[in-house]
Amino acid sequence: MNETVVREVARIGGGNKSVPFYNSSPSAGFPSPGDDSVDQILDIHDLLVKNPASTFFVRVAGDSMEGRGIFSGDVLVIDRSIEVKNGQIVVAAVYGEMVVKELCVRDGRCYLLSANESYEPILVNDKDDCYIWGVVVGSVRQFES
Amino acid sequence: MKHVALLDCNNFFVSCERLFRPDLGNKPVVVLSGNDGCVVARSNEVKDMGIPMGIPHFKVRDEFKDAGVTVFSSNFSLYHDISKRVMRVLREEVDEVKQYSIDEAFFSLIGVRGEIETELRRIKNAVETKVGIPVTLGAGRSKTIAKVASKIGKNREGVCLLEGKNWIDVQQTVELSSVWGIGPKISQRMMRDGLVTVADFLALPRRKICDLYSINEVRKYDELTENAMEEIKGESGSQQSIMSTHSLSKATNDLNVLKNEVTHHVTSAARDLRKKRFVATHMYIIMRPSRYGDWRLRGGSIDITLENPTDDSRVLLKMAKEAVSSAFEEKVPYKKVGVVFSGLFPARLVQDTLFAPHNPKGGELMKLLDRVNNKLGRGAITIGEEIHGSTSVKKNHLSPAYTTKWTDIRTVKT
Repeated sequence: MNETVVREVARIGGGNKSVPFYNSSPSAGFPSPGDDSVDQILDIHDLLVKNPASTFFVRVAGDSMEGRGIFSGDVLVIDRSIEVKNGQIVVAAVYGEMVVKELCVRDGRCYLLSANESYEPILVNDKDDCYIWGVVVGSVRQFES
Repeated sequence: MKHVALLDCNNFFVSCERLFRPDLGNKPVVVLSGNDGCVVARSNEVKDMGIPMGIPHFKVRDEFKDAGVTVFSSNFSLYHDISKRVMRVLREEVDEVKQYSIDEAFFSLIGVRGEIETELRRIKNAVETKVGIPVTLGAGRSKTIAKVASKIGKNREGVCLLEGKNWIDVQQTVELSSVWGIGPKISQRMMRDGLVTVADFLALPRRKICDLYSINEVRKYDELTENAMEEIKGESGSQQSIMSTHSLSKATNDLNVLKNEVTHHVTSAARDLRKKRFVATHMYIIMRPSRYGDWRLRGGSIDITLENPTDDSRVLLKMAKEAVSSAFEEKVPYKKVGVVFSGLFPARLVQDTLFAPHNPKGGELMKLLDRVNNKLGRGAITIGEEIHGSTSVKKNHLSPAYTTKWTDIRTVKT
């Protein structure tokens, strides 16, 4: 019975943190009276998260993906509902560890590639201890926090 | 033809922990209850060791150490979040979903046998791919049969449809004591009457069941004989949230008035929570001006995560009042006040009444409070200002809040 209420409540709560979007560009002089009314709210979440149920965030540690623009400390957006394809950046579970690599399928074999020449490709076998955890669909880097 | 299906997450709490710990894939894992007291979730490896559900941790501590069992304290913010994801994916796949507990949901399916099984496999695949939690799907012509099917399905690659002949075929192997809704008392009585399995029960004519047992057992009989078709929705199942809110007759900007109002709502909703034997993991305090006035964009709700899910009015009131004070804004004419509890868990998973060092009389005190107030009228006894003593709960093996706290998200290596 109360689900809608909760959802509405959560929305209102979240709204407090969002950035208001104003209709006219800033200029010196007399401001547009319309600026008092907030037309839209831009929520960065909308941009990054298309499928909330299957989206997870992880933090990067290491330098081997810098060639693909992924740096240590970045927050990656992973969507598990995206179909895994050759050439994608993925998070994989490899022998119990979670790693971010580029997926490469060649001659029926799966490799995980780094974007840094000093790292060797990892050959992924079919066993249980190696699997693709999810596809990386975005990245967030903060310069100051 | 219409079927009822049940989605049941396998070893749910354990699976949530494993999602972010691929290293624990085939290793023995347990999750302990709210205060690290008892085992409330076991991986299959631990079940195979013969460790029973609910056993106090101290009794098996050494055995766990020897067998290399990884132990977790219950991480309710994680389980609640993953549960919401599972239910959301299910709702995207099928109509008429009724969540029954944190890790189970009923839904209906229409089709013939082959189609139903394909459909169940498709849903299983969707949930497992998108959320990453292993699930079992059982289906039949009633909720009770769907429950049986989901149990049998655990050993059949996670999908099982029991209907017609293949339902009759397993009836001899299904004990009445394991059937959903047949409690220990009734199943013992049935045992004395020589009824051990579903097959025994259904061998009797319906008239006989009417003579011997109550209406509940007759209903069970109808469900088990595929002669009862219940609606998925509209029945009282597991509840998603409990709320108490109210519009004030006159808007106010008096902090004390607001605190009193919130106290009233928290007290009343917490009473409801205890009556239904739930604890909450989230508390939303609603505090906002009229929707139509100049202040409509101010205020809102304050989302409080209860790290230790609780039904204790004293804890809830303390947090609620702090939240009201911190969110209070000068001049804003507050018109609507209330509270919503969500992320409800059965209280039995959280409270180890026997082993809880904190608040040893918390549960008892709340019971007494409710009893007195039921007898003498609401508000006969109310809670004073402060709670004394610590309310901290033992959680020595707590995993990070991987999905609900930025500081806790999983690290991945490059």
